[in-house]
Amino acid sequence: MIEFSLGVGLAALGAGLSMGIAAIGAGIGVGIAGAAGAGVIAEDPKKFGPVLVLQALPQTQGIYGFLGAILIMLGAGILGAAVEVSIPLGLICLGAGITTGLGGITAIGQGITAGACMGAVAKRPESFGQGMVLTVMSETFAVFSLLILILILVGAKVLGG
Amino acid sequence: MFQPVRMNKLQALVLDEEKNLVIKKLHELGAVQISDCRDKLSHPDWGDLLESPTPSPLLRKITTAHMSINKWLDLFQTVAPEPTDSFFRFLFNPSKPKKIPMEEIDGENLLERVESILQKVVHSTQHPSEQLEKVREDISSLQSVQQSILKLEQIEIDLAYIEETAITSVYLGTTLTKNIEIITTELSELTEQTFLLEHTPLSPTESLLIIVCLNQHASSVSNFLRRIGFERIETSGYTGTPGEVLRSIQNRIDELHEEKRQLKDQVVASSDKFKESLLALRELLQIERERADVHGNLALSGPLCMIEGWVPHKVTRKVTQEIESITGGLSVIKVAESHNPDEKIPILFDNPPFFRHFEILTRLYSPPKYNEIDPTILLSITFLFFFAIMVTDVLYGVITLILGILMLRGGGKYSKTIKDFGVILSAGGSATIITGMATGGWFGNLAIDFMGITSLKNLMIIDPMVDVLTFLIFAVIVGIVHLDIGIILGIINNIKNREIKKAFTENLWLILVQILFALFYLKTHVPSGTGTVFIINILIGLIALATLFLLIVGHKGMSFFALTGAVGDTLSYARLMALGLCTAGIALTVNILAKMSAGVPLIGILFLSLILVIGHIFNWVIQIMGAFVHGIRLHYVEFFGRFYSGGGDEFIPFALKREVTELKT
Repeated sequence: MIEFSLGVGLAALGAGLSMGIAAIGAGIGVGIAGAAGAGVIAEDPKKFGPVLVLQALPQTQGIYGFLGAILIMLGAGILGAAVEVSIPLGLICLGAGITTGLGGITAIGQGITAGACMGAVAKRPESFGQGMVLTVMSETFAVFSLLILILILVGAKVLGG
Repeated sequence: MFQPVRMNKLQALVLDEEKNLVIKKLHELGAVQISDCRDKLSHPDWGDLLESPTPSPLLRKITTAHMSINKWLDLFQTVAPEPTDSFFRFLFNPSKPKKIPMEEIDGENLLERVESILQKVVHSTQHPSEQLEKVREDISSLQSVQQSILKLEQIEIDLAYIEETAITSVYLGTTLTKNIEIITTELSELTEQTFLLEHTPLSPTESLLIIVCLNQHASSVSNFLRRIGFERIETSGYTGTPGEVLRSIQNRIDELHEEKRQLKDQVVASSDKFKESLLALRELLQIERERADVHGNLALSGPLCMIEGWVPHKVTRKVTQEIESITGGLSVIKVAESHNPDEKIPILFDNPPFFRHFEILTRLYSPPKYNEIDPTILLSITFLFFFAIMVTDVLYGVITLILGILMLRGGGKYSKTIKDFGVILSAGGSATIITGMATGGWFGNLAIDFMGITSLKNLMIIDPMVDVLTFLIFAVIVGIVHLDIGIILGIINNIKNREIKKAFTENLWLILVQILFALFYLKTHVPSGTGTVFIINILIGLIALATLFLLIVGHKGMSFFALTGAVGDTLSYARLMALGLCTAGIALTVNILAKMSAGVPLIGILFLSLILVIGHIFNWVIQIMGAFVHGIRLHYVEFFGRFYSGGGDEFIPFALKREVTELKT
């Protein structure tokens, strides 16, 4: 039986929260946008292309959560070569994971915006580009969360150390 | 390439009596977008010279004929619908569209032909179609009565007795069972206890009621029953028990169905005889209508007519020659490029044949403005690259390539959209095969680890599941390069538009930051205390100052957000690695599950096959969709944000479109 330290366990928890919470946010965001999109394509099926692109935008936070989880797993030796992970280091990974996980909740706001922009596109197809710009504004904070995760892991020498 | 087609503004003065010939010729050429001259009527330079256009005298007749044809075609479509291809048939093996050969006929001759055909259609179809409609209504009405009388099935009274007499009124109908007591009480009062009420349950909640009262109480009883929700069943005119009446109604419905079938056959015969002609004539009328409609865009000046529009530079000479030829030289034509920055010049894409199929992706965002860079070529190359990185599996690439080819050879023969996506998928699939080889993806690790074809490792450059950090750094570097291309294009665009300050202060600072990082990196690899280090330090200082200067001048109070925005945009490209990893990760999971299921005795091989097939198809579908959407998103948000605004109006030529007919030669 393989023995895992508590540190590795905490890191795994961090990775799980990073992906899990971000997945909730992204899932809800995509769902909200999709509900609006269904109404648009019921009126005009030709709008499916722009609707699909707008609906996909809140997925970004899920991707960031996934990326965060991978980086934590790499740093903690869950993926790749095994490393010694102390409890404080495990807690650091946990903190990093919670950052991206919670940052992923911004996808809900992004989904609401995407849904509203689908309505704009239904009336004025030429507003698609502007709609995309409005929609991605929420992502800024998810990016900050990802950046903090990277800074935490690099600063604590979990990555690149 | 990289710019829309050069457009010339065309202004032609022709004799009013020849304008129809000119319009017809321009329609056939399909090379001119006709502008609306009416806004010139209020212009100080033109207002005194021009008059409002007169509508085409044929327009009303064309519209009426068009509506009549549509009415008959709608009827024929209801009675004998044209079979349509299923979704998959439409994509991969569509039915060849049928073209009806027609001689060239227009104007009054066309209207006479239409009138003649319509007379024949009316003669053979009007009566049976009216009868058919009546029969349908009769059937519907009888079915409604049938539903009502079905509720009376259990009573054995001759319905002839349930009629008003000189003294009494009869109410037969249904109500909620719980209301019977209330009805009894209320009727007692209303009729001074002079009424008869019998009821029988139809269901746990509904009962059949028959009420008899004196005519003097009929009005108040009727109002009350309406308020209480009593649903009256009309039986007047029917004799016999409900069972007998139902049988006779059913017989009548059967007779009507037979009559309907015969009438329908007559209409179908009419459809077989006239439908093709009507479709062809409708298209010719549509062509005439477009020509008649354009009269409203012209302007008159005495005996002259002014036609204004836009024509691509490369066909301008041909168009002017045709106008001169058709008017026998009696025309004045002016052609010039417009230098008015406020004028909205329509744009026509000008890309090599392969890249034309990617214009759909540029259009999805917004066509470029006239003097803007057309990003289609760059978008197509980098989109395919991103697509390939995110899918990164040889066999998924092969499936995508096959799908693309099937679409090209199938639906792509008749549909431009399917053809475009066929090309995009074929190219994407081909690129994915290359990246798949580089990352060792053959249905994930199926070929290399599970089937033991280790020679494929020789083609590998990187294993994404092992060298995750390297893959991430690669994705970010790709992003930085992509953004730099966008910044450089933005600078070029701004210089072309003479916005010099904007060219250098908007985004150049980001390139300087990268040079700074490069210098810092270089400094760590040069022996300290040397002259080189000194020079590097000077350069770092100068470039840092320049960066700060450009950032503050270009963005002022928003400088911080410009910085964070740039960081965000760069990190956004990490999704290339994330999605590439997802493809490999899910494929690995599918293979592990398949291997585990192979251990089941007897049917293990069946489970293995099912899991592999379903799992990899599922992974292929979601990765293709994800790669497409996220690839295009990186272009629309991060890339286009550096240099592209779009908002152009596409060139829509005044062109003849034949979908159903072809000219008889």
